[in-house]
Amino acid sequence: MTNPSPPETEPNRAADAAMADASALLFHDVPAAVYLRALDGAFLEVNNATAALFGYVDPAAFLAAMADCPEQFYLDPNARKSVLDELAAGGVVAGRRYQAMCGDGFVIWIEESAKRTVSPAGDVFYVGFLRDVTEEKSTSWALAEAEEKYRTIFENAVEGLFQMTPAGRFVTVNGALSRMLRFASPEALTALGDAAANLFTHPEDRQFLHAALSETGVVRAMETELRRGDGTRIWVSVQARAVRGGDGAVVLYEGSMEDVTERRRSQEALRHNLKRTKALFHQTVKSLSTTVRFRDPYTAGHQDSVARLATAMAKRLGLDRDAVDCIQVAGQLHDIGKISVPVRYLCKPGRLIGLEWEFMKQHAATGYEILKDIDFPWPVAEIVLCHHERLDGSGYPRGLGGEELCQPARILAVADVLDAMASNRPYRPALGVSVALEELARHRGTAFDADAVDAAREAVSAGDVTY
Amino acid sequence: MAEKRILTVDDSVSVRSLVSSALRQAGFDVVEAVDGADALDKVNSGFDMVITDINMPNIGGIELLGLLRERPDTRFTPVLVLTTESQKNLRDKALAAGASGWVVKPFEPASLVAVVRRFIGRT
Repeated sequence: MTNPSPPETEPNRAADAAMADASALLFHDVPAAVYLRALDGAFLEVNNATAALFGYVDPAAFLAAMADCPEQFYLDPNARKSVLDELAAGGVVAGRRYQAMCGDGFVIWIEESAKRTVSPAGDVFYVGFLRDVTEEKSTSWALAEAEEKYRTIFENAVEGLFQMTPAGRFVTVNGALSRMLRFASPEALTALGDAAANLFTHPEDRQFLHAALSETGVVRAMETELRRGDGTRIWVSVQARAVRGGDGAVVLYEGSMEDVTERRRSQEALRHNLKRTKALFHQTVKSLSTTVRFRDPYTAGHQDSVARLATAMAKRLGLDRDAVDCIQVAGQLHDIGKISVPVRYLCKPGRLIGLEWEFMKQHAATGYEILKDIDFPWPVAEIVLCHHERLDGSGYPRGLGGEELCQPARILAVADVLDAMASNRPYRPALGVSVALEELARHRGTAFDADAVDAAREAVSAGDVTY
Repeated sequence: MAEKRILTVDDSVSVRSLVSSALRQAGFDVVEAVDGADALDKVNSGFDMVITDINMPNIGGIELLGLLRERPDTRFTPVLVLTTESQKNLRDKALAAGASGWVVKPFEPASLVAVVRRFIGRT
């Protein structure tokens, strides 16, 4: 049994009707803006999306506004004319973009596409699509504006800014850098090819930059000397970072450099001046120490030896550079007060007695008086005043003891006694260094500082000083 | 009839020069200001219209709008916002502050002239 063929006309008519309904629905509710317009450009029908696009509540409101003032959304009359001309000539227009005005004064970018259509009844009209492309247009424009701002910053920066390949070719540079490196323009610098080989006056600096950037990715305040376009040299401080490609390899260096030539020059001058001032200071101390030589050559030589020995002891005790310098200066000047002691006492063979001895003991206080108004960076006068004091209070002039005696004074006291006993004196021959060390050992921890005595023994046995 | 005068306010040099050249070719007299503060200094000399950007240093476009609406001499001067911003809430803020219209950058010179003419007519 076979089914009879269905009648042909009825279902087709139903399908046509359904299709017409669907088309109408689709036309009105599709989310894209669609219109139908006559050959003269007048709108025949628009959908909801078109009305919404231009800020109207519904298609009827849009059509009414257009009827009052035809095509008012085209701001530029030429835009409307060119769309219609192209449709008339070729029957199609695709992707035409122009600015259009909405009902509320908001001007947006529209993309219009349309084609000529013939209805079943034979009417010719245009069906078109409109799309809001404002965001697309403004995003790329905003990017261009932002780029302009950054370019302005880049070009007007005071620092030299650069991008450079690891091979040493400048890719991008600003005006400040080309001026700094004495090139006519940024282009003259980028046209240079691999410049780095010529640029760095110290090739090892370039290797360092290379290594630092590939290892840590960043370099800060690296100072290096560069050779400029005109052959002159300049010191710069470089900040740079490595830019890596997708595979992690360094493809670019970018950063800034600042001319620090002037700063380095003044630093250099400052260092030089400081060196001179230090030399002047030591020469002055030496001259002061030498003044006693004219009356008493033994004392002058003794001060030199004590300064050497006390310095060696201070180093062995692990004192810092500043404390060592202090002890050296105090040692050099400790007997300066002897210029007030009559020469006959200084050279007298045998022991001093009574007033002679009292006179001799005055030299510590006189030394203090001579030195106290000099603004040394250390208490030199005080140390000189104390160099005959003993830890157990048996010394002079004040009979101080224990914690009242600072470490430089303790060191100086030991060095003074050792040198005096170990050397020839005007009033007696040398007793010898071993006798001196024995004497010190006897009073180690009582009259003399134990550490200082140990340091003196070590300095002698290690040959820091010789007797 | 004297030329109509327009004050254009934008911190971008290239936008200012595009606006100026489009309007000058159409016969308007144009004065440029680099931001809202500069605009307030210059607006004293009297303008038929102000065209302003939104995002600017010192004084931005929305603030400028408010300040212009407070002054008796500029209370009714049409102010057109010309910006890359297209957010609806910013637009509503500008309208509330007294903006007459809103043009999203970039602009076609002819379209800009057409908008200006809709507000202040021909020169």
